[in-house]
Formats: sequence, structure tokens, C-alpha cells
Amino acid sequence: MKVLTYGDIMQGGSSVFTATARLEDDWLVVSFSGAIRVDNPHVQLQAFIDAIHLELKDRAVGAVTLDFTDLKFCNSNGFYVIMDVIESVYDNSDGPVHVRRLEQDDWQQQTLPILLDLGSDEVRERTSFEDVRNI
Amino acid sequence: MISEADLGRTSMTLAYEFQPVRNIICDLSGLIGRAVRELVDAFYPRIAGQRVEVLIAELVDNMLQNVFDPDSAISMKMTVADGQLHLRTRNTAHTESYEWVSGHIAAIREARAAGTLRELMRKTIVERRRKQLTGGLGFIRLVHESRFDLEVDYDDGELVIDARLDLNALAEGKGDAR
Repeated sequence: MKVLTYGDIMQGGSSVFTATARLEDDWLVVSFSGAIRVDNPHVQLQAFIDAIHLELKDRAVGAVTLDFTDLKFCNSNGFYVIMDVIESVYDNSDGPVHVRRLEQDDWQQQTLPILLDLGSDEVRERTSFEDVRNI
Repeated sequence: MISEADLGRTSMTLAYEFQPVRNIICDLSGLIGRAVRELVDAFYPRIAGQRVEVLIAELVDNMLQNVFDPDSAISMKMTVADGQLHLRTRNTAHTESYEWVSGHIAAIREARAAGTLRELMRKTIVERRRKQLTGGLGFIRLVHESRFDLEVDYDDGELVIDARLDLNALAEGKGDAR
């Protein structure tokens, strides 16, 4: 798969969170790994949010996979970053969105659907979940 | 042979205190949250450790984001006994802070009782995002997502927050009951 763009949160000289957008034909995979613990994650991730919008706006994206199974932790300041990425993905694609999430993770089970805006009929109809067992 | 049920009956007490708060320039909530999660994981169901890490992240960050006196202390004490987890944080605060937190937690408890907590969380997230505000989601997250019961008090110039979780219910698979 071709890596379209990625973003990192660095703490103490190491990457503690990575978001990556990859594309194969018209299948987009956006994956999140690590942990968001910083007070203002937008400081380090705004460039990624801007880049993913620019990369997607003129492409014909079909199916989308959002993969949260390697995301270990997200503080409440991280919610808005996740929402910005999700919004860009939904706005710049019109196919089904497959969400991979951990079966035993409160945030991914309870809060993530709110961040996805499943109150919207259009989003709900396009979205399916795959619950992956924690290892 | 020690069974999982035996492990779940373990009691533990942990306490942290830091002063002055102006010296806290490290990722304190992350450091404590990860360490305590590992300890909790050693005795109780995995979901308990996960919830404790979220709890510590949100309550410790809340104390550090609302510092009133840079020379003051912050403290946290966690006790697990008889299958009940209780975590208390204390920090110096204005009465205005107490009143705001008290009103906020009362609204959360009311929404939980009315079965509208999810909608309150959704509205709060949407509203704060629209206004480009940071923070403000920690308490509601702890109640909606992690099932903690929260109480707030004001004692001798300090904001006191108590969080409780029934670990026995988690062990019986009832921790996600709404």
C-alpha cells in the first residue's frame, strides 16, 4: 500500500503515537497506534490533519478501513484530533467505512461511536464495526 | 494455588503527593497512570486496570490544568478493599472551581439517572469542538465510558474528588451494565 501521509506525537525524543493513511487502488486504510496523552495533541498533529484532507480531496476513495486496534490510550484532549481525522475521511469518501476496534476497551466501545457521529443517518449507514479480541 | 477469585480479594492502598506543583513539568498523569495500571492488572480483571489508567489521567490532568497556587500540593490516594475501588484527589482551589465542578458533576449524575448520559456526552463534545475549547470532557468520560461514580467536596480550601468503582461487578461481567 502507498503511504499517503502520517503524523506522530513525540515525547522525550520517541514517537508515542502514530497515525498513518495508506491507499491501495481505491481502498483507504487509516490506522492509529500508540497513546495520546499530551495536553494539546493538535500542536503535533495539525499538519497530519491538513495533509490527509489535501491528499484525499481529489482522489476517488471507495472503501475505507479505520483501524484503532493498536491505539492503547486516548485522553479526552485527543478526542478532537480523532474527530478531525474521521471527519476528513468521511467527507472525502462515499463508500463503506469499516471500523476495526478492540473488543475490551471502554473508549473504543463507548466513546468512539460518539466521535464517529453515529447520530447521523448517513454516517450510520456507511459504518460497520469489527470487534477484535484483545491479546 | 491462588485463583483469579483469590487475587480479586487482594486489598491495596497507594498514595502520591507532590509539592510544589510548579515543579511538575513531567508527564505525571502518564507516569502514575501506567504504573498503577500495571499494579492493578496484577490482581484484578484487565478492564479494571484500563479504567484506573483513564481515571488517573483525567483527574491528575484536571488538577494540573487548574492550578491556583503554584506552591501548593496535589495528592492522590487509591484504596481497593472488599472489591471496591476508591480514588481520592485533593488540590488547592478557589471556591468558584468547586462550584463549577460541583454543578458539572451534578449534571452528569442527573443525566445518568435519567438515562441521557450518552446524549449529554455527545452534545458536550460537539459543542466544545465547535467552540474550539480544550478539555472539559474528563468527568463525563469517567462516568459514561468507565462507569465511575464521582463525588466532589470542598474541604479547608481544597477541591476533593472521590471516584468509586465496583470491581466485584466487573469480575462478574456486570461492569458494563447501563
